[in-house]
Amino acid sequence: MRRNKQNKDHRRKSRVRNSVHNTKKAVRKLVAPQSLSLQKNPESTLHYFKMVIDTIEKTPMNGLVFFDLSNIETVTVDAIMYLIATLKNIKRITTLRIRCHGNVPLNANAREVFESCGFYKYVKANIPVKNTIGDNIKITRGKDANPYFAGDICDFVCRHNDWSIIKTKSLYRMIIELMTNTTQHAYNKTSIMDSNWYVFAENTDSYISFIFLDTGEGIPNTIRTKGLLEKIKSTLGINDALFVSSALRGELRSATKLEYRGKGLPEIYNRAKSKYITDFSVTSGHAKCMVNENDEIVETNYSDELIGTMLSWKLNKD
Amino acid sequence: MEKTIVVSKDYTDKPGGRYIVEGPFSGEDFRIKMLLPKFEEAVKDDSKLVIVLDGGYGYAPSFLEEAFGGLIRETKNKRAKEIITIISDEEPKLIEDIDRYLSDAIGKL
Repeated sequence: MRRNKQNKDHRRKSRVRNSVHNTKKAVRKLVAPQSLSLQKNPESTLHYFKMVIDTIEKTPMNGLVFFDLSNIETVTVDAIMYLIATLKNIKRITTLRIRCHGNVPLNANAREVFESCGFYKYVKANIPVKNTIGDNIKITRGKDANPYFAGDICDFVCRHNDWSIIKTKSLYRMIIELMTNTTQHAYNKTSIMDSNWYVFAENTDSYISFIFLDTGEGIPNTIRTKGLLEKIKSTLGINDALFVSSALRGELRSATKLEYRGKGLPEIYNRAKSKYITDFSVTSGHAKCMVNENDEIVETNYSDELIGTMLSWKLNKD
Repeated sequence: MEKTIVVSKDYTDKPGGRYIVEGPFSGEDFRIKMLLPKFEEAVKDDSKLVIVLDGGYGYAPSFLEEAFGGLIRETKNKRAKEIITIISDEEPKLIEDIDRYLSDAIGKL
C-alpha cells in the first residue's frame, strides 16, 4: 500500500518535472502584422495584442515568448507604446518570470520609429541602437500625477511654438487630469495589467501630437462595475463606444460614486473641442471615439479590445 | 487685514492632482498646508482671503475641487464665498469653476 503511494508520488513528480522541462524549451512565437498601428490598422493590431495577451496568460513559469517584429513595414508610436505596456505591465510576466525576447523590423523606416520613440529604454538590445535626439518627448511612463513631468511637456510645447506657459495651461490641466485618472479610476485588483500611464509627444511643422495611455481597467469596464443604471445598460447590450462617448459627455457617474469626482473626462472633451486641438480620439475596451471637425463624437466598435485607455490628439501651432 | 496666497510663489507653480497619495502638490496637500490655515486666520480676524492663481503652469479641475470643495467639506463654513476672493487674470474661467465647487459643496452641507 505504502509502496503503491510512493510509486504514484514518484510518477506525479516526474510528470511535473517533465512538463516544466518541456515548457522551458517551448518558445511561443508571436508574429506582428505588417502594419502595426492602432491609428492605421486598428482591427489587426488589436487582434495581435489579443494574441499577445492570450499567449502570455497561457505561458507557464519561466516560459519564453518570442516577439517576431521582422515583418513590420509600417508602425506608429501608439502601437509601440501599447507593446511596451504589455511587456512591462502584464502582472503574469513579472510574477512567473516569463522571458520575452524578440527581433527588430527588417524595414529600416519601421526600425527607426522604434528607435526614435524610446522603445529601447524599456528593453535590452543586442544590436547597436541609434541614440536619436528627435523633436519628441520619448515614451515616458509613471504612476502618480507628476506635475514636474507635466511641466516638462508644457516647456517642450512652448519651446517649439515660441509660446509662453499661459498658452499651455489647458494642456497642463489635461495632462494632470489624465495622470490623476490613472491613479483614481483605472486600477482594479483583478485586472491583468498593473496601472501606469505612458506619454509620448512629437513636434512637426504644423502641430504637436500627443499619445497618452493608461493601462488600468479602461472606461467601459470601469462603468460596468458601477451602479444599477449602468448595469442595466450593460445587460441591455449597450456597446463600449456608447459607454465611452457617454463618459466623455459626462453622462455617467464617477467610479468613486462621489458626485464631485469624475469631472475629468468631460473637462478633457471640452478642451478637445477648442480650435487648438484636432484629431482627438479615445480608444478603450472595444471602442474608439473620435471628435470630428464639427465637435461631434464619431463612435467605432472593434472586435478585440484595448485593455486600458489610450488618448491621442494634435495641438495646432496656428 | 486682508490675507493673500499667491499660489505660484507661496506653494508651487506646478500644482498636481487631487489627493496626497497621488503625487506631489495635490489639492489636498495645498488645502491642508496653505488654504485651511489662512482661511481659519481670516475667519478668526474677520478679514478677507485673496487667492492669486496667476503665474503657474495651470490647475487641474481635481486640484481645485479638492482644495476649495474640500475646504467646505472640512470646515462646514457656509460663509466661505464671502471670505474668499479669487484672482485669475490668465484664466478667468477658473473663478467660475471655483465658485461652482464652493457652491456645490455648500449645497451638500
